Amino acid sequence: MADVITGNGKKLVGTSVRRKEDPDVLLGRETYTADLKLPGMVYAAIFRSPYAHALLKRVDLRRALALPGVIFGITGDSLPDFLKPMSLSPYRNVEWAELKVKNPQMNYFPHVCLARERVRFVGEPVAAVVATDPYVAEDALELIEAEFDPLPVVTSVEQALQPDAPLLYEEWGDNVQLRFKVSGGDVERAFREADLVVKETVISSRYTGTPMEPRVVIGRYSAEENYLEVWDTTQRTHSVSMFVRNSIDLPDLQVRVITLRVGGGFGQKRGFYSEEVLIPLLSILTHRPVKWVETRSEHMVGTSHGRQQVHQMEAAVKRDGTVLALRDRILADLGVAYPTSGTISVMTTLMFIPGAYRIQNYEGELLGVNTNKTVYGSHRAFGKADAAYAIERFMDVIAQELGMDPAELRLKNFIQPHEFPYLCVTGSRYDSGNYPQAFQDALKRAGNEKWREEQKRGWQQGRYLGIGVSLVIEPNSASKVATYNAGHYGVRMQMDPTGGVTVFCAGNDEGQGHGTAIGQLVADELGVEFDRVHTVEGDSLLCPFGSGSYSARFAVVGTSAVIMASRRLKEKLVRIAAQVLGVGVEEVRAEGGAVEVLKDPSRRLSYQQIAQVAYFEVLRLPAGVEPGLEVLYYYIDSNLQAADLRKVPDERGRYAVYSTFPYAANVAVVEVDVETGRVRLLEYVSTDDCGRMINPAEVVSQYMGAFAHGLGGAFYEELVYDEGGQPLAQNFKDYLVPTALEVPRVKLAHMETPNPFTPGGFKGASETGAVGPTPTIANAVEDALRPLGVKLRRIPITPAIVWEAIQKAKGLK
Amino acid sequence: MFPARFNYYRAESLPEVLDLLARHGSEGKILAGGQSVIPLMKLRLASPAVLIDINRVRELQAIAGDERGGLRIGALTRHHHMEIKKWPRSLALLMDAARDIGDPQVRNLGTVGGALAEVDPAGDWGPVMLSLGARVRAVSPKGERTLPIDELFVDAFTTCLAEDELLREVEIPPLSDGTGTAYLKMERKAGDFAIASAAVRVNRSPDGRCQDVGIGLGGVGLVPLRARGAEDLLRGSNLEEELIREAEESVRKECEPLADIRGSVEFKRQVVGVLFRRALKIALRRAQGEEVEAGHV
Ligand SMILES: Cc1cc2nc3c(=O)[nH]c(=O)nc-3n(C[C@H](O)[C@H](O)[C@H](O)COP(=O)(O)OP(=O)(O)OC[C@H]3O[C@@H](n4cnc5c(N)ncnc54)[C@H](O)[C@@H]3O)c2cc1C
Repeated sequence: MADVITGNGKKLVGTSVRRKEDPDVLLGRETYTADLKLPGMVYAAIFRSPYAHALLKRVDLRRALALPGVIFGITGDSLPDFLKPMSLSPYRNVEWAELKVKNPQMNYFPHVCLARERVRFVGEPVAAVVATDPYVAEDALELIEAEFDPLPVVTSVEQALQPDAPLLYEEWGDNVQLRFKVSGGDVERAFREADLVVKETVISSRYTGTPMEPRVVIGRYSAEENYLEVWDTTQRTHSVSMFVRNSIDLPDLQVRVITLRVGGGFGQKRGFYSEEVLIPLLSILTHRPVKWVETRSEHMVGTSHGRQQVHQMEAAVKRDGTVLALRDRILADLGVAYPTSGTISVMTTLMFIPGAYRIQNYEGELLGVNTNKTVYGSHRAFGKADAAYAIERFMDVIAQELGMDPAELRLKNFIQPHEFPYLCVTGSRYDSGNYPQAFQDALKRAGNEKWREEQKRGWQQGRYLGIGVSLVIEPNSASKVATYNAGHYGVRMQMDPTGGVTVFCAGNDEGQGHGTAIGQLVADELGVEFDRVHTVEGDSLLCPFGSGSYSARFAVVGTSAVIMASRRLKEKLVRIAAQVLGVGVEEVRAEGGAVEVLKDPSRRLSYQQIAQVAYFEVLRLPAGVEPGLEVLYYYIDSNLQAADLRKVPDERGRYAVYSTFPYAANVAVVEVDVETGRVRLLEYVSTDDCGRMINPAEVVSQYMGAFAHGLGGAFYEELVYDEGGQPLAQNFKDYLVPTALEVPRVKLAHMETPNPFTPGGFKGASETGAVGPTPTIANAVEDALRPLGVKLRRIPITPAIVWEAIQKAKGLK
Repeated sequence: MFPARFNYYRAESLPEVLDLLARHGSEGKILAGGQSVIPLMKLRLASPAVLIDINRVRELQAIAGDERGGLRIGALTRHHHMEIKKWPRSLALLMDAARDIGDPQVRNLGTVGGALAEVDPAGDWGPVMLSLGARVRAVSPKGERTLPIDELFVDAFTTCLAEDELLREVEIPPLSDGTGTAYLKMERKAGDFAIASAAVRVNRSPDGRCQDVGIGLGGVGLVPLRARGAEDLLRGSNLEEELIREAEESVRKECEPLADIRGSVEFKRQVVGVLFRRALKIALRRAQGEEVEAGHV
């Protein structure tokens, strides 16, 4: 790995500059939110519902409050009047309502930060205590007396949709929180013209992100200043400041949210949570700084889950393999209706079912269904992983029905390179790509043909080898009007009088290495040294307003804002220098951290000299140029703002949601032990295209982390609930996260198709690693077991599932 | 990590342990490697008022041969020591089992005695010791006794030991020549407890007859089980392929798995049978002097 650190001459973007962030994190010198200790700090512990569904008869804190060291306690019924229901919307209101959109149809329930009257999932916050010591707070929880009256429990979408199902939110009349339909083309006709109609149900189980650092919230309120500071391990610093402000309705309250280094987000830290209101509220009510550190057991039930979807799919196909049309009906198990973005996430799934294929006839319908489980929220590759899983599994089913090689079928239907930018049937514009090339490359590097031969030999000897292929897209950089995520990214760039650059950024970093990337970009654009570029993120008052870090927004709109701000700053430096040097702006150029006269490069001013003029000799500035060297730039996503794209759903539900479309072609080779159901992954090959790479080493490391998570989804990770709604995976003993021992080497290669809509050509990297394994491995396992006629319709693929599927196939034969 | 309040005593010698047990046995728990008891306390699933730390007691840490050619394994022997010890080939299953327990941190601290006293239905040492026909020596302020390992396991997470009784060591009887052993465990991922496991000890005479056999099963009952039916089928036989299949079916019938997050009853029955058969085959090859990896299932 190259260790380039100067910006002189050689460009840094595209090289594997060593990450600025690593030394502090790896050597244990970093300050995480849980490390903070403020004078007078007290500790909150949360009493959570042990029932999946029950009436809350009584919560009695008296014994808990009598424990020495306990200073405060609160229940849903004792919340103050200024405490308002929580909402996803910046308008403190229902999503989309402002836009008069009828599709999607979303129900809203005014949940407050502690349950009232009723509990709806195991882990729901019911009461909180505050003590001078976290151990005492924990002891106090055991003294809380709560009485519940259990209600019938809903634990699956099928059950939730029964006409006589118990209702979670009676006022809605059913258990459907979200209805959404999207369609394009003439689906009816396509089905009439089809040679064959293929149907299948594809299921993915509930799993989650389990960041190494669970959530932490600290609140500190100053009554004198009516000023509330919140330290929060969120992916959305500014949005949380609005969320807190909207939920705590104290007149003229000033809120500042600060996010320190975050130990992994994976979408789980993107949702809004009760604790983000509750803990600040407790600091307001106790006049003390209050700290809450989530335990792992709390995290497994209190932080959002993802992925649980049932897809009822249908395809109209021609004998030659052309897919004329698709239908999908998604039943998503949303858990309870708390304000995380699970609803938007499953809508995203519905939008990208057509995947990498030239399918212009599509009809999708979505029911977001409530059950007595933890809320469904954003989870790595937000709904897109689910779409890729469904379509890539379904393509294999189609291939089998046609008796066609799954690779052939895909090659037949890919969007072709010359068709980009490509308008997807659901309204987004795919920026660029070359699917056939990536796919052929992966097949070739995997040794597809060699494996096919070995597979045939193996089958004769009772050895079951399987080859699975996929091409997954991972749409990046979302935006939606009238939400926090309006598609912009703000950057304030400041050159100080010594020539050093500080970049204040609207997002924050959960491990992606923003500081390193910004250093590379600014070094290249401005010609300052990499080490002189400093990044500040995660402060809702100090940094420009933004919606946070997710959806690879940093790599797409964030880097664009950094580039544009650098260019603006450079213009100002050039203008000032030209004036001081007594020449016109067209007679100078910026080069290597200085501005020099083109005809006589010995006449030059270093950035430091220019900065000194800007700050200390302001009378020498050109007319109309403000003192100081500071630029504010809000970049708008150009592939979403374009005039010809729909910003809100049209009558058929179509609109542009994502602006750039990284993808990866994947091949997995597995061997199945048919006696035990054990699957071994022998080979995983991926050809990945994230556009231009800013830092290839970073792309690889992010990819491998994502891949481990994808592998978890394929083989291990599942949030199982029993029929009573009790979660069975409440810690890492039962929730299996792959470790280094489970993660094989990936044969990873990159293709770089630049994004034509961003100044740097970047698309956002690596979440393809989390998306690819589930369909690719499932395809491979099913392929291995073809002689037995085994169907696998759900993930994770555990030995028990595989063995039972084999038994089932045997029974049918 | 927020356990309830507890008192902590550290014993430096066996008499001190016995003294502490006499005083606190009823409200306290012995702290060996802490790899079971600490996680339980952390989750407040256990809240002992007293912990009696035995980690400094040297007498409990030795592995030694006894007069009869058997082996005594001190209760405090760490899984890690079981893993790195050079065992005679006839005890290869000890290494098979030790190396797949938990992760390195668990193996560095966790102990054989603690694991046996924990009686986790899916623990690894139970089936191993059952297959070897081991005995355990227990001491209490009132005296000492030795009992067959089968008697130790009363129920899931329950031994027959009295509150003031310490598991002192495990005795493995001498193994006759021509003995081969193997332990196979199927886990969901590295570091996990077993879905099911099988330990096999088999002794074949030069003419090929099975002179003795011990079969221990893990993960398929409330306690580690011994497959006596299958043992009876094989003992004295010529270990014909058909008979082995029959024994495999017997293993499936004899066990009593519960359905849980690791799989259904049928699945566990299937797996434990396969593990038994494969372990037997490895043990037989080892008995012939072959160097065979137990490998991973
Ligand atoms: C992540 C993880 C993974 C694991 N994976 C496995 C696995 O794959 N296979 C497996 O077999 N085990 C596994 N274990 C459990 C591990 O083997 C423990 O070490 C073992 O179960 C308990 O041994 P200990 O020495 O840690 O006992 P402790 O936790 O100290 O004690 C356990 C219990 O036994 C009692 N006790 C301890 N020593 C004695 C004694 N000498 N006499 C009487 N009572 C005593 C204690 O009072 C306590 O009740 C795992 C544990 C963890 C944390």
